[in-house]
Amino acid sequence: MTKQNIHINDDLLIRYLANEITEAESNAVNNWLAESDANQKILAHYRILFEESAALKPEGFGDADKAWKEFDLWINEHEVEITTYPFKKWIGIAASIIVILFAGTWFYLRQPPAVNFYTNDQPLIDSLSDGSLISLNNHSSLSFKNGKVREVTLTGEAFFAVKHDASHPFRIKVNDIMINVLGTSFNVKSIGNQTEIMVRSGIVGVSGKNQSLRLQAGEQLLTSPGKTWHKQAQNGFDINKYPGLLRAILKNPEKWPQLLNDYIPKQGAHERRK
Amino acid sequence: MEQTEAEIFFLVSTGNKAAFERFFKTYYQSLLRYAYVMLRDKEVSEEMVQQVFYKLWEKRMNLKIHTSGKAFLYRAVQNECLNYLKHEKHKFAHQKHSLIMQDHMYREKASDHLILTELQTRLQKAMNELPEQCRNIFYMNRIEELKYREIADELGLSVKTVEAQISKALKILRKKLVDYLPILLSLLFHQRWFK
Repeated sequence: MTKQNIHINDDLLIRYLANEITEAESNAVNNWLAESDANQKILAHYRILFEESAALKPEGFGDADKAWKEFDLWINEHEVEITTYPFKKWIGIAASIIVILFAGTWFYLRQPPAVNFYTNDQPLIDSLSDGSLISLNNHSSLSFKNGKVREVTLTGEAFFAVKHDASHPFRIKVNDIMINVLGTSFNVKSIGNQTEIMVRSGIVGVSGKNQSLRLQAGEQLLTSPGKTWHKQAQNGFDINKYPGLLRAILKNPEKWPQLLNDYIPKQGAHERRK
Repeated sequence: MEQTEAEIFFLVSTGNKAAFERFFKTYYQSLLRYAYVMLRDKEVSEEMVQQVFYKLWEKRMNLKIHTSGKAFLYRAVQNECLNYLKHEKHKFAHQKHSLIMQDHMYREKASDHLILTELQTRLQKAMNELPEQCRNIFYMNRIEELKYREIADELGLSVKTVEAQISKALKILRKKLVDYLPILLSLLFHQRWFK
């Protein structure tokens, strides 16, 4: 094959550099290079770009196993694990129902007693036996069972800073909804049969009779029975944005509902004006 | 156990953590290199890639990928890096007046384990500015060291397309960087690149 049969252009030169070329083409390019300095210069330019770009490749860093360990930690801290159980056969379902019944009975029998908190005119800050913190607003009540599942029943309003413990899910029953938590902090308020949830950190899963969703930090949800849920961005609630408020609450924790009420509307009005 | 990309993506969408772990470990290195070529900062690159995986993990139940998996991941990393750069630029605009800051940044650069030549710096910038598909393919060839055939298979394209995109990339780069390339052939002979 002679060089005349092969037209030399930039595309061919680039394939020549990439070593994606037939022998005939390669010979043609070599002949063409021998023809003139100008030809050699074109190839040389491409070669520089070709090789210098490969030299940008980073060497020797990025341990995937180590990175995964970090990532895994993050997942455990931030996530409510949703597990689905793929049973293939009815027999599997039947067997599991029996297991659940037994486990349920056993679990019921060894369930710890509930601890109850009530407030009248004074709010209350207390810690639960699992290490979580609660702030219970006036005229509210909270009952806590510290079992395999940490279970709270709430009426009224409370702020939760839940201690992280992946093996003991934290659940809150309020009105007809269920809130699932891992290690996060958030506020729950029941107003009549409506429930308001505001998340300060982490992720919270909320489930009702036939709907469920997840709230992230900075999001809030107001539920009413029979209505479809829509989460919203919080209006000036993110306490982290208001270090002044945070400091005031830390100084006078028992005054937190009042401080929050004094502070938030002001901020809200300011936000709305913008 | 070797799994195809489609299988890995399917397993991830089931929400299974073990599947996600495999997915993570399959793509981590590759994405890290991609971020590094854009940012040239080891720590930040690691952070960006972790960030991409966090987002994928949160969305894993309804992950819909229309392009090839690799192209999808590259894009996710690129978006993350661009956001970062935009933010940094903004941040830097506020700190520009501070000589101390500049001095600090200079030192940081100097301590970077790989100091770039002027050509390399410009090349890196020009590479980032290539059209997306063109950049990804060029990148897979030059950084990931994949053959045309392998790139074509991975992205579901023909070898001809891969060839055309690599040509396109180099032509664009040459046009942009011609002022920084040696002018005289005699100079070229002294360069290590010329064989």
